[in-house]
Amino acid sequence: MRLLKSQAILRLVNSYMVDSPQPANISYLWNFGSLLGVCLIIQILTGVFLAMHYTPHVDFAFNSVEHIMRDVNAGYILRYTHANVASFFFIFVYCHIARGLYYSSYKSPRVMLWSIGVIILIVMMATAFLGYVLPYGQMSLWGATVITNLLSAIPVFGHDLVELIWGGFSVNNATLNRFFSLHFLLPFVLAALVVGHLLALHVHGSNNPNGISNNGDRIPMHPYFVFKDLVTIFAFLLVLSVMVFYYPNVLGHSDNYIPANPMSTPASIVPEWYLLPFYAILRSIPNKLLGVIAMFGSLLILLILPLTDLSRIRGSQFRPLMRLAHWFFIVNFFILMWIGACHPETPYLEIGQASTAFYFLWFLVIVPVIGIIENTAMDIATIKKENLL
Amino acid sequence: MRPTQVRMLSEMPNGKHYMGWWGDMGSLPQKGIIQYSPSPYRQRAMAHWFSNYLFNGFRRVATHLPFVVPPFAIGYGIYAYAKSFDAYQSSKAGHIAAMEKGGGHH
Repeated sequence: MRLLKSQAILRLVNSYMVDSPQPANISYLWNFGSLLGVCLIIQILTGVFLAMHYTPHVDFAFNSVEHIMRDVNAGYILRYTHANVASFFFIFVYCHIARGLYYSSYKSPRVMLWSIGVIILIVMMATAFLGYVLPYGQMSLWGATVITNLLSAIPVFGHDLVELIWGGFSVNNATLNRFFSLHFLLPFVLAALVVGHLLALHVHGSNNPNGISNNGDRIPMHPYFVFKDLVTIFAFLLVLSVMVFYYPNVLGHSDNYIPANPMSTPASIVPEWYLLPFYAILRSIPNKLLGVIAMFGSLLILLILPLTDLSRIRGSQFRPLMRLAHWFFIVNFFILMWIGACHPETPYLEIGQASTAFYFLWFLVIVPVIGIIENTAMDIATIKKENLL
Repeated sequence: MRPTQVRMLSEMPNGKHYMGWWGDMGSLPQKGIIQYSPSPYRQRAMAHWFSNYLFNGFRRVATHLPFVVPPFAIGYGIYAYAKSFDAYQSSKAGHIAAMEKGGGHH
């Protein structure tokens, strides 16, 4: 027998990446997983090399980043790649999740796969937030101040918890140090979670656009999907190169090129673009604790979908109402993203509140109700036919 | 009977079925698999690929448009309205209107 199929470790590689039976009909929307894997690898590699030149100290952090940009050989490529791949990471993960929502990839038997994915999303956001603090520009300091202060909303021990996280009485040198340490650690936790995600995927295999098991029509991962994945990987690298070499700061905030100054608060404190929808949800609720709960709830509510999607049909391909609802959800997400970057005043405030309400209603009311309507319509249609016969 | 019950009650593979491996995939026994094919010189694997890509691609996108356009149109409407309202609120006319309504402007 070939070594690839008999050797203890290689047979796993074979089982996952070579002979793995894939649905023949999965579309390009199934390419985001491999793109995300590539992103994680790029982030870990560039991050390790950045860490060789970075100094996690409030007095030196900003300058050490400038040192990387100016003095380190190809340092600017390392740093711009790391910063821009972070954005692409989130573009891909949102597309990956949207694909899962559209085709009901969360449904049984893939609930474990979906749940691990939600945890990956949360850990990813934490990692990205920690990383944004490291250059120690104005947005780093004040973003860290705002986000860590969220925990002070927890009753009784909230304030003590925040000081424990800070290692002091404000965001300071100890905070920067531990954030650097955690930013180095979490990507490896992420990698372990990705292994879990793949293990869970491997049990039942990928979902497919038709929403029914297609065990009768499968083709091996290699060469078919290895090369199909490479198409989008090369396209990604092409776009990434354009971003890194021509528009490296388009997705960033100019305030982060001002060294952190605890004595001067920026006019508006905004997180990176990929956190804006959740920032909008946080700000749309006047009560601090409830706002924090809503923000974390807006991520955790993804876990409830396997329960609230009552439709007997998997995916939105053959469900017109759900299709429409899906696109409304996407548009609402974009609106939240836009509102997150606006000042909290009329009319943005009211739009943010309505969008937040819609976000939660989508999971808790719209999805189950559409499922019931469609199931019922289908039953009525078939009962009529039987009676006529 | 519910149309999906056929699938749920029968031995047909469904979502709950463990996906096996080649030759034991968990599906019905496969029949009529053709093991021969035209000579590679006679095959036209790429026949009409471009025209199909254009016309079938357009048909597929066009049938999806009724589901995509209304949400985005409403979303853009909200965006445009909010922007214009915000501009009005910050304008001289808006400030005067706010003051006439009672109370100062912010």
